[in-house]
Amino acid sequence: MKYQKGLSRREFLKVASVTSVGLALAACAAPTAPAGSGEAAGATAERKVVRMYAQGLTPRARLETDRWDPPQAMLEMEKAYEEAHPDVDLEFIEDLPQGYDEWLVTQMSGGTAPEIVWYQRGFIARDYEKGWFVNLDPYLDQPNSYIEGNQKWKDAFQGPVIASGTAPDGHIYMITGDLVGTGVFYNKTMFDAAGITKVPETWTEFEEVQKVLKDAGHIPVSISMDLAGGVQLYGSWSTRIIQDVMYDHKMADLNDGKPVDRTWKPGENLPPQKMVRAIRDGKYSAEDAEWKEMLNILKGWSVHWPDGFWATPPDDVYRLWAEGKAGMAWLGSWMNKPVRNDPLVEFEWGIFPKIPTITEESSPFGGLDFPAMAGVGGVFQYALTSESEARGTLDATVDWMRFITAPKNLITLLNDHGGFAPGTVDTTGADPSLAVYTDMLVNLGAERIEPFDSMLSREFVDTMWNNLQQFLAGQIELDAMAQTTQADMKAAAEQLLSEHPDWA
Amino acid sequence: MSRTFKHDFPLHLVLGLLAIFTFYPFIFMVITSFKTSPQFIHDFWGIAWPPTLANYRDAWSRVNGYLFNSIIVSGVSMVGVLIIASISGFVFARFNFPGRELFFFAILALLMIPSVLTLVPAFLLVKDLGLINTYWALILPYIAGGQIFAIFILRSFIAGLPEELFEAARLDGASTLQAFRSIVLPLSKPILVTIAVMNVLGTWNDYIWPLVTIPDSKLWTISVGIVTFGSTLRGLESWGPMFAGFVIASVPMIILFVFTMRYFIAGLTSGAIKA
Amino acid sequence: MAELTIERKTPNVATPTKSRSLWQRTLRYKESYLLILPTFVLILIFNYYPALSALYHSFFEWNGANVNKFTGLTNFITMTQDAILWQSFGNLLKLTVVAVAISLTFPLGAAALIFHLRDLKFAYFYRVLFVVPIVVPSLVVLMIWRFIYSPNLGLLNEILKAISLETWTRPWLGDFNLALYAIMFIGFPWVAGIGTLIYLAGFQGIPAELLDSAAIDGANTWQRFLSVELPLVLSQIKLVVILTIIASIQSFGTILVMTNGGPGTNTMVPGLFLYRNAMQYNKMGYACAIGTVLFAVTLVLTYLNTRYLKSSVEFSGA
Repeated sequence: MKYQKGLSRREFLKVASVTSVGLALAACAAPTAPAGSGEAAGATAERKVVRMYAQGLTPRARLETDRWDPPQAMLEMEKAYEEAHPDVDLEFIEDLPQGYDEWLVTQMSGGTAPEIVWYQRGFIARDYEKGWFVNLDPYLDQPNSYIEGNQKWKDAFQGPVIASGTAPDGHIYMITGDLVGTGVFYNKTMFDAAGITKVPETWTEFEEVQKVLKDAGHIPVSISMDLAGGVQLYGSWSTRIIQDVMYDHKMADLNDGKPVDRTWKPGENLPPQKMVRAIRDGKYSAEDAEWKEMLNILKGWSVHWPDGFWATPPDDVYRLWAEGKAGMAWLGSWMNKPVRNDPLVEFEWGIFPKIPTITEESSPFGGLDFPAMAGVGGVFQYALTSESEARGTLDATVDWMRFITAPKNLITLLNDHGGFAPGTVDTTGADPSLAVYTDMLVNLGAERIEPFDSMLSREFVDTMWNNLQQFLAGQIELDAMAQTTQADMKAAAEQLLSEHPDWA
Repeated sequence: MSRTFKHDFPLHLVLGLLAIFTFYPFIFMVITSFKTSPQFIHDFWGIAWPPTLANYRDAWSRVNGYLFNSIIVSGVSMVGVLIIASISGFVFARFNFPGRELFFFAILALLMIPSVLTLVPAFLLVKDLGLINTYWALILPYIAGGQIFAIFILRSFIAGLPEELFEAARLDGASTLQAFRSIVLPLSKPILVTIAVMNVLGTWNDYIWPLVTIPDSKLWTISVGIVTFGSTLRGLESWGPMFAGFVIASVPMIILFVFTMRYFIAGLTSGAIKA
Repeated sequence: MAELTIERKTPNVATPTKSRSLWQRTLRYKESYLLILPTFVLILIFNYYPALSALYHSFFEWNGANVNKFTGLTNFITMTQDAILWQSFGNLLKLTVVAVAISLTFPLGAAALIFHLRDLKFAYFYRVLFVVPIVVPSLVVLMIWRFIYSPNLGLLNEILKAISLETWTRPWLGDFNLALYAIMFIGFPWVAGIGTLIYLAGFQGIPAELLDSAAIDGANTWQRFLSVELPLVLSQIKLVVILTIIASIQSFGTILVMTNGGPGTNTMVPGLFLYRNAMQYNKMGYACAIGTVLFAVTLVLTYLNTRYLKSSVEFSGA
């Protein structure tokens, strides 16, 4: 058919066989496909298929080279649920570390997305208007039949945790069930050798400790403000806790006169709507003394960060500490397992119970402990896609979500994963090394001002991190940084107000 | 021999240096594939001893299914490109039909649109054609895209073939297709092999397109399979097997090179690539 | 298109065509049209439709889902006022110029060196050596370079410290002035890949008589290179330059991973900016407008390239 003379027989056969096998298989692959295509899936007469992109909780088999068991609890959940509900078929999609944005955009545009997708608080403001996700308010107000005595599903969660799934229109589009705890991991052996006997509790003590380490030739604390992953993490963590302390005395002003308690209930914090108004009215500005003081503190702290921290790859944060070059490293709770299971860490280590407090000694606005150094939403952040409505699987999907968010199940899943703390009120059975973060949330409270990640638009937060990086790198001065950020902030706030007239 | 060597010596010096730098990433890949993840995190460059063969066992158990998919997809695409591009290249070279230059430039211009933008429309198109989750979702766009470069090269090559051969064929009463079969194909063997190899290279490592068009992970290509490997705690933990996967994925390519190198080099060196 | 062979006759396409009408000529060539139909069907469906969709949406405010408002030239006007975009084009210009310069030197030089090797076994050996590295995934290469440039653990700084040049150490990818150049340097020595082989093909296509006659005329190696070899690989050079330009204008993957446009916006390029607007900011219409401009720029550069190099060297044929 294709080539004749001029090609040796061997090559002809090679080509012909590849082609024919290929064509045969390609043709065969087509009919078997629809099972997974998502369109044909959905409500058939017999079974409803509920597909879930569980991200970090996606079960997988243990590899020979794994040093601890990978998450598998979802399989138990699946089994238990399918036994109780034979008409539902649960499927898990493989985890995608790269290309998630592209994947989500294409699947949602094409109507082939799974019923449940992992999502992030920072994206809600961008995407809720596209009609991609289901408004969960009505379901959250109904009881969760899998929790004894539960009247409203949402009550099973800590207030700030479930509230983080609120979009600018006031509705909740995401079920958030966990917290990212963070902690300062420190090298006990190095501390002892340098003569540091106690873990610092105030910022002043913290600075002393860092100075001692630096004089001994070490990097005091390992942090990255790199634009490719560092500042998005550390910039976010640091600004949200420092800002809460700086603005503590002014919180009521930002909240139309009503005081804001650290341990707020949903609606009692400062979400985007309130922040946008505060910016418009000039009550919250990047040129506030408090805001600039936040920058000051960061700048002062950055002396103790690694050289060139604004271009340090985020991977290096752990490397520097694990190699004994840095005395401390600010890491997330998901590092607990890897660090415990790293056979090449050759020193004794511990974690600070709290980030050292900024007292009045260090700053005119100091005095209050930091809020819980936790980010709400780790692996357990899921949105229900409108596909489920289209396919008639919504009820089954909601029911499944209720099942896995029942505290005993949720905690089983999180213990199994080992990286994030439960965000439920009832934490019985939680791994103590994780529950400690939930306790902190309960005792110290959560940050009250909406983090920059989700306060305004995503473009704004990109420029915010840009400006922060340049400022910390010494490329622009503090006043210039504040000024340009304020201009961006104001513009973003005005843009949002014009898009949401009901916020005024 | 020694005179050749004396002449060549400075060339060897420079080429050798270039070769070391160029080849290093490959060596790095292999070295890392034998390390455990902690070893990699603690020592980026060094060689670890003893080598961790478990990486390869894990990688193989993961990718062997995908290897098959990749071979089918890249193989069929390659054949498709060869067939279609050789005919089109022939036509563009030999027949001065109205609009020839226009059509040709129109084809070339397509290389210039950033692929990020065409992702969503292309996806929707493929979905509307009902091709999601099939090999065709990959093969057809790969052929459509791969033929562009191939036609570009083939056209100039075929235009350079001696006129006498075609005259002789015409005098013998050969039709267009017969002329194609008996003159063009035999002489373009090396060029065709070159194009085939370049095409496979292009489709083998493609990640985003298979990721979005093939929800059923059983049909994934090897590039997708490796990158999505064991990412429990976000990339910290499975460096070793992942690199082993990369090495395994490169083996078919290297085999392809070795077997076709003769033609590949000859193809490029026959003075074929002229703009 | 110019053909750069020395003796070649124009394909004899029978009777002169100018005397026939367009329609008659079309009918004459109907077989041709039929034969290129598969190409065009595939291209129209899988390439033109998505590309035209992208161009079409440049005139809309489109969020990829439910907002699709016609806004005419608004996107383009916004582009002219976007300071970051201007900076990114400036960066792109620098990157492209350097990329083209590199493509004209290192691969060309390597190919020339291989060409001049007398021992053919080694020539073969080096060719293979320069082709195999293509199979290494870009992820790996970027990982290596990221680590070379790392401020605290990176190879470059370690080497500088070791040879007592500690004052030269710096965060390479974080240096506001040098970051872009650090990016340009990635890929050193730029020899692996198709470029070298294309050039090599060109050199080996030079008829031996020309080289011999130049030698007989008393030209030494270097003179021969400049006056005979180089001019005769001009079409290969043209090809490589076109491909380099096309690739450079669209690329953003390297920068995304290495600096994400930073420090600040000093390594931002239009491709990355486009990607962000499309995938992260919901501004697909705006992204399409940027893409349209990039397309136009590439088109113009390619056309200029074709024309300029065509007119300067022609032996025969048209």
